[in-house]
Order: sequence, then structure tokens, then C-alpha cells
Amino acid sequence: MLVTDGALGAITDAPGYRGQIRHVERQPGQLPRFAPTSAPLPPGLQRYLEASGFELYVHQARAVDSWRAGHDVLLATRTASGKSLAFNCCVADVLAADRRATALYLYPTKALARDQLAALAALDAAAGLDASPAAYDGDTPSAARAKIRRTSRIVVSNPYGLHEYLAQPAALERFLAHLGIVVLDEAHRYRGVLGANVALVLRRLLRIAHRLGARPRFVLASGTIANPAEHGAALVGRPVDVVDDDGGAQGPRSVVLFDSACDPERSLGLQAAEVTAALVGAGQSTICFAGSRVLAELVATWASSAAPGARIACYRAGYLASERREIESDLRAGRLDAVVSTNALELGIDVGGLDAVVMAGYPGTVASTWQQIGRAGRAHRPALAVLVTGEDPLDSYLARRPQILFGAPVERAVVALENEKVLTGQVLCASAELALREEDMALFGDALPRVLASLQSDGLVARVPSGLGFVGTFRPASTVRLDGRADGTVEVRVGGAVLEVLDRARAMRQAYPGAILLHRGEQYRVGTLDLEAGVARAERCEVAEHTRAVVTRSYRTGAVERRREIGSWIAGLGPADVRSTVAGYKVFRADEPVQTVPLELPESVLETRALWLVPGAGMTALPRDALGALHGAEHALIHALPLLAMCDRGDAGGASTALDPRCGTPLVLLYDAYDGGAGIADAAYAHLDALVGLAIDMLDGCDCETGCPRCIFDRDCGSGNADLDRLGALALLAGLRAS
Amino acid sequence: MTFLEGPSDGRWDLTPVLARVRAAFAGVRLAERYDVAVDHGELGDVVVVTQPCDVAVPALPLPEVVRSALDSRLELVHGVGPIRAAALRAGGVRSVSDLAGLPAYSDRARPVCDEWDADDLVAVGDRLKARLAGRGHLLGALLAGCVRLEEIAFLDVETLGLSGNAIFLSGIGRFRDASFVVEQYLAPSYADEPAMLARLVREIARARLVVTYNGRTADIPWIRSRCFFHGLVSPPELAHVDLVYGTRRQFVHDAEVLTDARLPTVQHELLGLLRPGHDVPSMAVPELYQEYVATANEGMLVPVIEHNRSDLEALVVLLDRLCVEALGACS
Repeated sequence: MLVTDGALGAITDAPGYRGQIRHVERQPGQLPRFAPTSAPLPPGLQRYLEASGFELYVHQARAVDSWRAGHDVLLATRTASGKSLAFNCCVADVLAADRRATALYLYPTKALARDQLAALAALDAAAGLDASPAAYDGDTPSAARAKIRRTSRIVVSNPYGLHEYLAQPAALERFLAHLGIVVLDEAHRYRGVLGANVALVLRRLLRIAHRLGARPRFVLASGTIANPAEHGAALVGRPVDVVDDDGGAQGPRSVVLFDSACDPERSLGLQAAEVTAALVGAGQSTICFAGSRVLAELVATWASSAAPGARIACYRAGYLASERREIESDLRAGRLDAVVSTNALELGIDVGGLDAVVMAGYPGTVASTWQQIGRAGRAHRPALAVLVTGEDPLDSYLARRPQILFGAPVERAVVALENEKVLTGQVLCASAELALREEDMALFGDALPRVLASLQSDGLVARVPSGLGFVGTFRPASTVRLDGRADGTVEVRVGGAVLEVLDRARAMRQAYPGAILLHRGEQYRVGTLDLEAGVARAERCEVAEHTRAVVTRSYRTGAVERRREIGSWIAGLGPADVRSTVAGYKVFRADEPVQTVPLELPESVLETRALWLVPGAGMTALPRDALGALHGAEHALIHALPLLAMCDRGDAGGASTALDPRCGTPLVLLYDAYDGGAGIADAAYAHLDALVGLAIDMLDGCDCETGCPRCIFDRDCGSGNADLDRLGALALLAGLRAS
Repeated sequence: MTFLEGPSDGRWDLTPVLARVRAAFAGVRLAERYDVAVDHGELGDVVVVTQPCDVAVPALPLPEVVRSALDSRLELVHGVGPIRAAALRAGGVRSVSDLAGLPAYSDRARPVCDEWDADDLVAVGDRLKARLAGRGHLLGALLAGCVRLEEIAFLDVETLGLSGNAIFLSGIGRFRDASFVVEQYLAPSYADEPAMLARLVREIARARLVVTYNGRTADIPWIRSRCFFHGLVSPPELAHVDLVYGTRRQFVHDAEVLTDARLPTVQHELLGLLRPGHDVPSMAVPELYQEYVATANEGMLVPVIEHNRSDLEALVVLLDRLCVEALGACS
């Protein structure tokens, strides 16, 4: 404990300290609990465990037992609890029993997948499995691929690759015909549209494997969420047995809530940078997570100024691969004292032990927070995690209610199973792999007949002797993006070189002509943006200003699929269209807006799903400032959403009006920011009472009058947070509570 | 598929092309122009179009000549790269057979000779590609000399797209007593593809060597994919030479005689062959078939049938030429 208290002291002793520490949660650590499996493990696996000095923790043994009992298994234990070993034991069990059996591991990224290979090679050798473990992904050289398909029994890959490879199933015949086990790690990351796509890719895999005579089962691992069983079943289409009694060793840890709003003069990023600098000064190797590329750059710059002589680097996904590899290796080798990163490093890329984690802003979900906290203290040394909350509503709420982090999970992982665009795309892919038969219907859900009828009438699918098959002239897999992002990327170029690559929507919000872009601490001004060609051109500059896009939106609701009364209001759920335009941008000097510049950028149309609220027949009057109350309630509900449905900023949006043209009444709208819906509005509808309760709690604790950044302001508000009434919103939300 | 290419941005307006074909072949029935038979089977219907062609018998090297040429490629032996091969040659070791006699190399050289002795063309072909890359593909053409002329199947398929899409027409050209005859199997509807594939697989299985010109859109793996799709038995593994690689290596990279290795370029610039009368861009081929399926207008298929046949003829001439080049590369 001495180490972390010294580090805490470094924070409180720092010149910038103004009593921001609101809460320190001391976790005393946990001794490991071991257990044997109910039946002996295969001898080769036993040898491997003994030689590596591993004894199974209770959850690892339980997972193996559950696997052997014939279940699909989901491990819901924390980061670094030895989930990999649990997987590997199940895989070794399968491969030892059948000399032809194969295993597939799926990770969210190629890097994570490849990280497993060393351990798998060791297991293979020690257990005599003759498995030739190999990575099969975009980085696998073409010369190596045929051999892996022919001979490897263990393959590590990722869902994006699998989606492509399934398009040529004949090539995978040997591997799939003997597939016994599929490992899916980080399952909580497969949410929303990505989750729905991944779930359907797994169905395609199962369909082909079944046709070839294989009956693979799944072992999943997930971060801490409120609904592991439901989520696992959504992904694999079958019930899963949840193993969550975590017997792993855990070193003592202190988690600190540092409320940057206590010092309103200085920004969250600056304070987080100072905390980082203080920790580095106290000899703590530190990683600081920042929620955006821009923030990461700024924090790295500030931390370097606050700790002269310290070696601090910035790491984010927009850098070219070579730049990222360099930073990773420096961190691993201890040539860096601290690294500031976006979420790109949150996933267990191995960078060696770190003493402290600083989070510049709430990462957006409790699961991500714990994943980031878990980066410190890998060698079971005492560890320190500092969550620097900002002034926005969710952060402020957490600073007030830290138990959300330390109590039982409330956030649910939501998979967009209702998104028919996703289903259509994936069914089309399936129709090109193997003709679709009656018995395949069970895998794809109730909407399948409707989707197929529509594809048939479009002439994309036709009846062939073995079922319904794809007869189009293109390649369906190429038209589906698993993460549901809009097509197209934009390269930001300076001179002839590529500075970074953005997706189209982000490019319109960050690389519009006149935008100031930050890269590695340096400023660039964007001169031109050519969306057709996918190129933005920028030049170096040094100015004391920053820019922010102004976005205008309009919406239209569609058919009401579900409807219920809630308090004196009525809630509806169904499809909706939302149109957005980046109308211009504001220039800020020293955080003050000095200029607004109009832009001519194309409109984006989003066909999605939404929840809307309209006053019930019995409602007499709205609070005094109707627009302010509606607008405020809209914001409050959106801010509470992540706590319920585990979405990120920007995954959901909202709108409110005193007079909706179709209903003739006031209306509040919450919509999913994904084509076809991400499951968030659906989850909000399903748990609306809980959502309202959270929104009320968030607004109630603030002591401001009409509203402030800490309770009701929204950074992305299209109208700049004008017309907000906190008390009015509270009254309105109270009306949503059942009387 | 080797038609005229469209503009590189892919925005080719096919309406005039389709209109032109409709006008040229209005009301044409295939049976009026070709020898057509319909095979009604359990799996469906196959329309069989048979066309005799005027192509000279290729002058293929004798098996002994092929053997001797391959024997001279020391690099076919594992562990022997260009540098070691040069050193060995300088030391008087001229052939794989020589190497097989040396204790240090016999373990690795013997299997190579065994493959030749066993006439295992699949293994020989695989080894050529694996050990010699581009040059290996060129030498692969020589395998044609190791079989009887009648045992070679020249193959070209027409598909609905570029990536595993349905095959609607497949053409096989074979020599029977010094005459080159092309048989084309057409699926008269999407549902007849399995019947057509089954017929194609049966015909391929009669050959000992398949010759194609494709590159990425390789025919044999594509046929396997489509057989898998319909739950049919795949063609057996057999020796296969794709002439595009050898052509590209020899005439585009090395000799720089051609700007590219697209078959129309090869046909015209290298082989001096005329293209058939009604050229259509490759992008139009799927649309021609789709219109035929929708309207039963057989005339839409005439350009496809003509081209498929002309490409198969070109393959024969090209094989002849490549064997000459391959032997030259070995001396």
C-alpha cells in the first residue's frame, strides 16, 4: 500500500490540486482460489500445466467442467483473470480427443489474436496436439494460406476476416468439417450493429459447419455486464452457461474519483495531464486514456510540459501502423515513462506492467472503465487508478454516485437483432455460400421469410434445386460492413504524405474546410475536402484557436411498432428517419467562440429506429417553459442511456419539439445513430422506467437553476444548449413516472 | 471471360451494347446456328452446343524432351536456390538426376525423380509453381507434352460476376483425331446450374490435364466452389496449367513484347488472331445471360458463345507458343 499512498500524495501535493479527490475506493486484493476439474484433464494438457506452473483457478476449472458437460460457456470474470488459459484448456480437451478436430479463436483485432499464438504454440508442443496454430487474417501472406487451410487445427482470426473467408466455403471445407470449438473473446464489444453482424456471421459459420457434419460449440468471454446470459445467447443463438465466480489473484488497488469540475478554470484534459505528470514524477509508469484523438494529443502535450524530462508519448489508432508499433515497443521496453492513448490500447495488447492508470474522462461504459483500470498492476503489485471525471452530465453523475462503478453491474450489452438491414446483408451473404434451405430458417430468426421474399422480388435470390441461392452479379460480402459505418474513408494529406485516415462521417465533422486538426501535438488547418475522391488536404499551422462543427438535424417518425402508457405520457417505438447536415463551424479562441463560418456539405440521411414520447390524452399542461423542459428531458434521457444500454457517445441522438407536425403535440425523440438501428432505442423502450429513474437522479443532484454543463448540457447539442430548463425537465420526467 | 474492357472507372453504360446485340440477333434460335442438344437429367436441363473448330494441332514436345528440360532445373530440389544451383552447375552437376546420385542431396532429389517416374502430373505441376514461381508457371505448359493430345481439356467458363458467382456457361475444347471440337454446356436457368456443373465435372474427369487462362478468377477453384454451393461432388484433383502466368512472365515482364496479358491483347498482338465479329465488354456478359433468362431470347447468348469458343481456340495456339518459349528457357 505504501506505493499507492505515495503516488496519491504526489497528486494531492501537486500545485494544481484543489480537493478534486471525491472518493477513494480501496480494494484489498484477493487471494487466488484454486480448484481441480471434476474429471482429470488429458495427459498432454496436464503436462503443459505442470510444466508452466499453472494451477487452475475455480472459474477456469468450472469453465472446463461446464464445457465437458456439453454446454456453451461464457466466462464473465475480469480482465487478466486467466480467461485465455480457460479457453485453451477447453480447446486442448477437444483436440486431444479427436485427432482431426479443429478450433477457431476470434478476437476483435488482429493484434490481439496474434498475441495468443505464443501461448498456443507452447500448449501445442507440450500437449502434443500437432495443431500447427496459426493466424489467418489480412496479414497472413497468401503463400501461407493454403497450407493453414489444409493442415492447421488451431486458427486465430477476427470476425471481420471470418465474414470474408466464409464467402468461399469450399476452401475451408476441411477446417469447418471438423470444427469442434469456437472461442469468442471480448464478447461485450459485439454490441449494436456490430454485434448483430457478428452474431449473423457466427450463424453463417454454424450453418456451413452443420452441413459438413460438424457440431461446434462456443466458449465466450465477456467483461462485466448486467446481462451476460442474454448477451451470450444473442450472439451464438443458444443458451450459454455463465461462469462468473472469479477466483483469480488480484493485487491491492486504489481507485480514485478525481472530479476536475472542482477546478472550473482548468479543463479536464489539463488536469488529467497534471495527474499523469505527478504520477510520473513519483516514479509510477503510467498510462492515461483519453476519449478522443484530439484530447489524447492535447493531454500528451500538456503532460510533457508539466513533467519536463519525462518521456511521454501519444498513441492513437489514426496513426500509421509503423508509428504505433514504435510506441508499443518503447512502452514494453520501459523506454517510455508514460503513454497517453485513446481506447486503442484498452484491449489487452501486451505492453508490460504499468503502475498507474489515469482516465481523462469517463470511458463511456463501466465495462470499459474496468478494462482500463485493469491495465495497471499486472504483476499483482499495488496499483492505482484515477478516474478524472469532467463536467459533463454522466461524468458528474459518477462523481456523485461512485457506487455505479463498484456495485453490481447495471449496464446491458445490446445487440441490434431487429435491424433488418443487417439481416438482409448477412442473409444475402449466406445465400451465396450455400443455398438456403428450410432447416436453416431456425438460425436466422422470424424476419427471415420476409427478407428472402424481398430479395427474391429484387431478383437477387432465386430458387435452385438445393434451396434459395444468390444470383446477383456482385459479391455480397463486399457490400456488408460489420461495424455498420457508412461507406468510404477520407485520407487527410499534408503535402504528399497521408497524415491520417477518417471515415466519411467523421471526416465531415472533423476535416471540413477550415477545420483545425491535431496530430501528434501539431496543428493542421484543412484547406479542402473532396468527399468523392476521399481526400482532404491540410497544411501545418500554429494558431491559438480550435474549431468545432455545427450540425443541424431534422427527423420523421415512421410506423408505431410498440406503444405503451408511461405516467401521463405515451411512449412509441419504431422506425424513424433523421437527416443531418454540417451547416458550418465555430472558431474558438481560448474557449470563447469568435466566429461562425458556414459550410456547404452534403446531407446525411439515416434510416433508423427510435423511441418517442408524446403527452397522453389526460395531460393538461406542460411545465412553464415547454421547449426548455422538452429539450432538457431529451438531453437527460440521452445522458442516462449509456448506463442502461452500454452505448458510447454518439451512438444515440435526440430531438425535441413543442409541436411535431404529425402528432400535433410536443414530442421527445431518442434515436439510434446507426442505419437500421443499433438496439438502443429498443432497449430504452424495454427498460423505460429504469431509464427515466436514472435521468431524474442525474438532474436532481445538481444545484443549478436552469441547467449547466454538469447536469444537462450536451456537447453535441445542435442548438448549442440554448433553451434548456432543468427544473422543467425534472417536472416533465416526473410525469413519466407511473403515478 | 475475355471481352473488351470498359472504362477503368467501371461506369460503362451497357444499354447500347444490349440494344446492339438484340438488334443483331433478334429472334435467333441457337439450334439454327449451332449443333444443339438438350440433356434432360435428374438435376435439371443442360443445353449442349457443339462446334468444330479450325485450329492447327499444337506442336507439343515429346515426353523425353519435357523430362530433360525439367531435369535441368536444379532449383526444383528443396534447399537448392539460384545461388546454390549456379555453384552446382559450375561444379559439373547439371541435372536433378545428377543430384539424386549425390549423398548430400539424394534424399531431396529422389522424390522429384519419383514424381516424374510415376507420371504424377499434379505433383510435378505443384512443385513447379512452388519452387519456381513465375518461371515455374511457364514451364508448367510443358506438362502438355507428357500426355496424349486427346487427354488435354481446354477450359473456359462464363459467370455472373467476378467473385464466386454462378457459372452459367462452360466450354471444353478437345482434340479428337487432329480436329479441335468445342463443347459448351449452358444452364438454361439459374436452377439448372447444378445439372450443368455435373456434366462439366464428368467431362473434366476424363482429362489428364486442364488448360485455362484466368489468373485470379481461376476456373478450377471456382467450379469447386459452385459444386460445394449446390452440394455436388467436386471434380477430382487433376493437373492444371493456367497459361496467364507464363504469358505474363514471358511476354510482359521478360521480353516486354506485350503491354498486358489480357487475352484479347494476346490474341491480337502476339498470336495474330482475329476477334469474333460482335464484340461486347466483359461487363455485359452477365446482363446478356440475365436477359436471356428473363425473356427466353436465345440471340442474346450468341456473342457469349462465340467468344467462349474463340478464347478456347486461342488457348491452343498460345499453348503451342508457350511450349516453345519454355523449352527455350531451359536450354
